[in-house]
Amino acid sequence: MAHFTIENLTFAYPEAGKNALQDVSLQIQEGEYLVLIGKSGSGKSTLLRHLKTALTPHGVRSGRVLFSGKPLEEAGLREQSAKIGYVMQDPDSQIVTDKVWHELAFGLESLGCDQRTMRLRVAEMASYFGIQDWFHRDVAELSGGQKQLLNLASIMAMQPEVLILDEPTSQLDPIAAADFLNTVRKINLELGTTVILSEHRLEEVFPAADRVAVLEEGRLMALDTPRGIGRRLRAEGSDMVAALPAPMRIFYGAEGGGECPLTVREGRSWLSREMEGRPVCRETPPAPLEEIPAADAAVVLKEVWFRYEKDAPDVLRGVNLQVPRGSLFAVVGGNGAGKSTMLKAICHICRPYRGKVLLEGRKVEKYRPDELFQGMLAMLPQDPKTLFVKKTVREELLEMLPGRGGEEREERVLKIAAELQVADLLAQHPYDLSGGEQQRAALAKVLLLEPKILLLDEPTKGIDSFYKKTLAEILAGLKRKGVTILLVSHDIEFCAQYADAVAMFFDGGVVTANTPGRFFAENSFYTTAANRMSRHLFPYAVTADDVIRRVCESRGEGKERIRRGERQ
Amino acid sequence: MARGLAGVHPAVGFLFFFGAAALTMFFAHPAYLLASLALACCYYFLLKGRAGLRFFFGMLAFCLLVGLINPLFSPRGERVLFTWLGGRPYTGEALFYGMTLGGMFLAVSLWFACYNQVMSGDKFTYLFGSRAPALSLVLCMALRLVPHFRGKARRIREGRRCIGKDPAGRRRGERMQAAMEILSALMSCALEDAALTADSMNSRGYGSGPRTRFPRYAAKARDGFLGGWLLVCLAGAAVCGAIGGAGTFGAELPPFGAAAALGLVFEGGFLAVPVILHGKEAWTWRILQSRI
Repeated sequence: MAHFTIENLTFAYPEAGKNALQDVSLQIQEGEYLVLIGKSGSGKSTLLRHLKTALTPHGVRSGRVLFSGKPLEEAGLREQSAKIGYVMQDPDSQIVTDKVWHELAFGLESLGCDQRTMRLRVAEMASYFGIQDWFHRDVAELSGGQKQLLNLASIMAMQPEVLILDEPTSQLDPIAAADFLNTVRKINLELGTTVILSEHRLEEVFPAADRVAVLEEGRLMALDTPRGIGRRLRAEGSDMVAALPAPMRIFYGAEGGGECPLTVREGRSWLSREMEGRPVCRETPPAPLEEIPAADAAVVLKEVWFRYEKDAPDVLRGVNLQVPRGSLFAVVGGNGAGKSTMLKAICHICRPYRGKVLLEGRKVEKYRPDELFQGMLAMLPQDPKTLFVKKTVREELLEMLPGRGGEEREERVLKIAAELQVADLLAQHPYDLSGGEQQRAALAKVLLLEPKILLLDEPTKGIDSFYKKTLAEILAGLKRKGVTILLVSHDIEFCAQYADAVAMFFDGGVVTANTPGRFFAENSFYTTAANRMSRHLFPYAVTADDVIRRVCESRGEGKERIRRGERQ
Repeated sequence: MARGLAGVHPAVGFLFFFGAAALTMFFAHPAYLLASLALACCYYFLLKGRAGLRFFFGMLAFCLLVGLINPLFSPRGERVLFTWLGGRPYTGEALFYGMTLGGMFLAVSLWFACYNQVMSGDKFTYLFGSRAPALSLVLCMALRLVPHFRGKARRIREGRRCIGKDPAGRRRGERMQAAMEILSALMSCALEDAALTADSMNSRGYGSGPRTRFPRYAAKARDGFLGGWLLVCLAGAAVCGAIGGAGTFGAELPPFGAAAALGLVFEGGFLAVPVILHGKEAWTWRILQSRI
């Protein structure tokens, strides 16, 4: 039986020019795992919010939503709260109370559960989610991943029939995200709870999904199994192909035969079959990272030690790093390893108690503050929201150019806004922008300082694959102008594709630095999906494009064909 | 790891600290005060260990100072110890009064320090929340917001520093302006968060009907026994102390009769409860370990 039936739903926000949802019809079966994909701003959240009356936005609406065969509005607030669980994007602001145990019990308290049931359900959930160790903790002490898991657990304590998740992992690092999505999968498989999930990290959810729905500008473009969706997107030449998991991208890029692989395991065996009987040329390893003379380094860290408090453990334990001038240098590493702290030490926000930080050969503390941030150094923090203090994007940008002539200021603001594609957003409040747009506006603000050295802290967090491409183009443009870019990230796919050099940060120091080809080929876990899938044949192929090129070359196909495959 | 008084029902804990503060404040007889002070010290150091030394000596110095200074302001009394500032007397009575005051202050602050260790905020809301469920929810949400906003403000400040808008080392007007900017950013953040939190509360059925409360603490027979004992001792100490005249706050050593002595026994029986609970647990563990 259909759990949710959406019939011809059309919706427009008040005073919006166009419809946010246009004639969407969709049936969701009981126990199904449905993934909703689409670019940001395509109406994913709006659609999901229509599945729960308490969250339905105000606006003009036609069509209807049925829940278990009855109009959704007929189910009361209590019934809907219990049966339809909804997990939102931001782990922090969803939390209501101050203690973990209280948060778990909050929904049950609101539903007026009796004490015996409440005790049992909370105990059950804490055990199922492995929360018992932090049951008595303050929520403020938890990490982002733990907070989101707590949000899920506190929803599951109400024993919902449907679980709706709106980009639940966009604020999490990849390891916490994988953990979270595995838990969602487990709930779907073990409890039979219907799952409706919107996501842009497709590597994990595609293999788990029963069906995938694609939204484009408020319309339901396609609804099919994951493989079917891949086929359709490819046939239509949609740019959504770029968001597909690496094995699927490689399969379509190389125009392979047989069934499309979804996971790395399937991808490996597909690739082995594809390459059977064909010569695999022995590859020469790509060039390692060259040692550069200190004079060519824009940023040098020598034996930098730092801790936050006198008695706290050291966060940076003798960091040594050289960032060549005019390169895009990426630092990857686990959560809480101290990557962000290293950036703060370069900015002199954190002052090391031992060691040296040199910018263009001069010690950072020798720069006057205004000298340092005018034309030398700028940093984009992890949360771009923390840069916004004004009412419109225009004011935000103007703020960066104090004491200049009015016209010149306007001109520069318009120029940078055009470069970063935020020209249409200048009149908006920064908080009304989507994640990717906020990131761009913040970057525009930072770039108005015209830094020679740009530090980026997790620039790809919470943004979809399309904006990642735009970001890469922006960074490439800056590099051409001679800007040195140092970014720290969890996003190995991004680093593999666009960085000139990658370094691994572990235990308070930089363990190794190399070119992406070398770096990821030498790792076996901490490497890209494309590399994991193809390393038995092409040890130095790191990105999906690398693999596609090698497969095409082995078939003896020409350059033109290869370029077409890479464009996919 | 709920040990001693921290492990019993919050109502019993609250009764104890309420009684301890009341007894210390009403019975200013030196014998009573010394008993309270001694047991408060014992309990405080059992809870804090060596880490408590700093606070203790700080408070001790402050209270001694209060005691020593009092005669400087109050020249009344017959036993003049010495004169100062051209004949102003420094009297024994005023010193005694000051010392009593200081001792009382020290004892009460130690009991409050123990209270903070044992009775966390959620215990208080648990006890008084049932009268006003909405208020107690607001209270615990507010408790969450304090660290939440402190963290946000720190991140915004750091964000400002990332782009060279660090207010430190600038002129006062600029610093004020920078502070206002951070404040306004924090306000926008708060409004944004509040809307999302409201959605989350609505979506979890808040306001859909009468609320119940998660039974965090269940009252057990042991709590009843302990509570009874505390009540009996408190009543005994109050009655006997009042009859024995321990409540007079004076400049002289009050008489110490049979009633006062009995009251002191009751007070001891009351105030020693947490120390005994702690000691008993430690002793039980010792025995359990030695049996293994």
